[in-house]
Amino acid sequence: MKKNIGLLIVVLLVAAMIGTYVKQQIDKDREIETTSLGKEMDERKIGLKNGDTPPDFTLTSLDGKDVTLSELRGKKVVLNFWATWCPPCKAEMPHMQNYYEQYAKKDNVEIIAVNLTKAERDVTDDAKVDSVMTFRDSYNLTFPILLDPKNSAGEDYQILTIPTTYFIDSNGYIQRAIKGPMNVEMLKQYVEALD
Amino acid sequence: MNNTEWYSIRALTLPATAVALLVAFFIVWLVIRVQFPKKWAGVYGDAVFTFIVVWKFSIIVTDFKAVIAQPFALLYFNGGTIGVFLGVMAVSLQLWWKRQKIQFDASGIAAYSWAIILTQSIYQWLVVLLNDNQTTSEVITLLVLSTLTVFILWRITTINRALILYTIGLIIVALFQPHGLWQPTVGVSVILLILGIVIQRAGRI
Repeated sequence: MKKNIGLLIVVLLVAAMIGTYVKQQIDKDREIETTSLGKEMDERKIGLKNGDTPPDFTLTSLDGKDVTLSELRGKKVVLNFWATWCPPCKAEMPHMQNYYEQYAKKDNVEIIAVNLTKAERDVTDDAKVDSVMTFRDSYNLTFPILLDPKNSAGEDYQILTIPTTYFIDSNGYIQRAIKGPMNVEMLKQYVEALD
Repeated sequence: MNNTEWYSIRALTLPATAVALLVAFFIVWLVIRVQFPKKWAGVYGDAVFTFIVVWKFSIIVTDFKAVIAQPFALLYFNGGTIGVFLGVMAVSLQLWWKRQKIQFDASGIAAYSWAIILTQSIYQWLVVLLNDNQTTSEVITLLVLSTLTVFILWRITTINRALILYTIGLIIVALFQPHGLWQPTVGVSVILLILGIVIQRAGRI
């Protein structure tokens, strides 16, 4: 008798799993039908959800260049928000740099690291920029680091935890947002999932 | 299978594959618990614990420099694919070393094959359900592995035959999956098959 309980659970699991899968497929077909009937695919909203157009911004990099997000369309963008005092950001930065050196060109990716400059823990604005520079030099970072002294992008993107990273596809739509640090392997996987 | 989904719990983001594995561990533990004497659920739990700890901390081996430079990297990252293999090998060594103490009798060997087959199948099913991949590879994975699992658990009592049949089935399924034969699931399945045969031999002696 006892033998049958485990097997019964397994059979029920199989049934539940196949049922769920069939339901998923039916839902997917319906979704495709409704989108092709009514809504146009290119009517995208500006927002932070997957599929939305991310809020645009123009910020100045540490090297003094202005960078506008929407001008990067055509490239996949890894948009990272960080600060120098945040331990997970420190853990993540060498991986970002390694990814940038090894794969960014090949994968048609630009990494944009927005420093939440207003949240840096120095008293004066100059000192804040100085600590970002020191940080960049000590980690030998070569991807563009943008300064956000008024926290305007930080507010638009509702950044509460750092690091937060948005993955934006080459059409300029958000594909996903990741909270928490990533290593090279994760970055590669996330970028591979981008269009 | 390609991982296409991620789940966020506060500041922690887990890929769907990791979620699938954790859920699979739990379900299999439950099944082993009701199907076999209590002891075997305990052995399974120990093995899972060893696997998770080794996989998580194997970043010390795979990325020694990062851990030395920033010890807190230990907290955030894991050993990745190499870590998965190190974890499986650690579990294998643990079961081998403790084989005298654990005493794999007939019910133990049956529990081993149930645990191995179910962990892999439930993991594969969940990965299919949680992610979005090509429909053919999804359907083949679900159908072949579920038929095979139910058939083996219901009909086949010799562990050698059960595990060899299962691993062959898994390899055939892998051929239809995006990454083909060269994916960790296939390698892990082969290691677990060998371990099963070795444990059974040891049990007989």
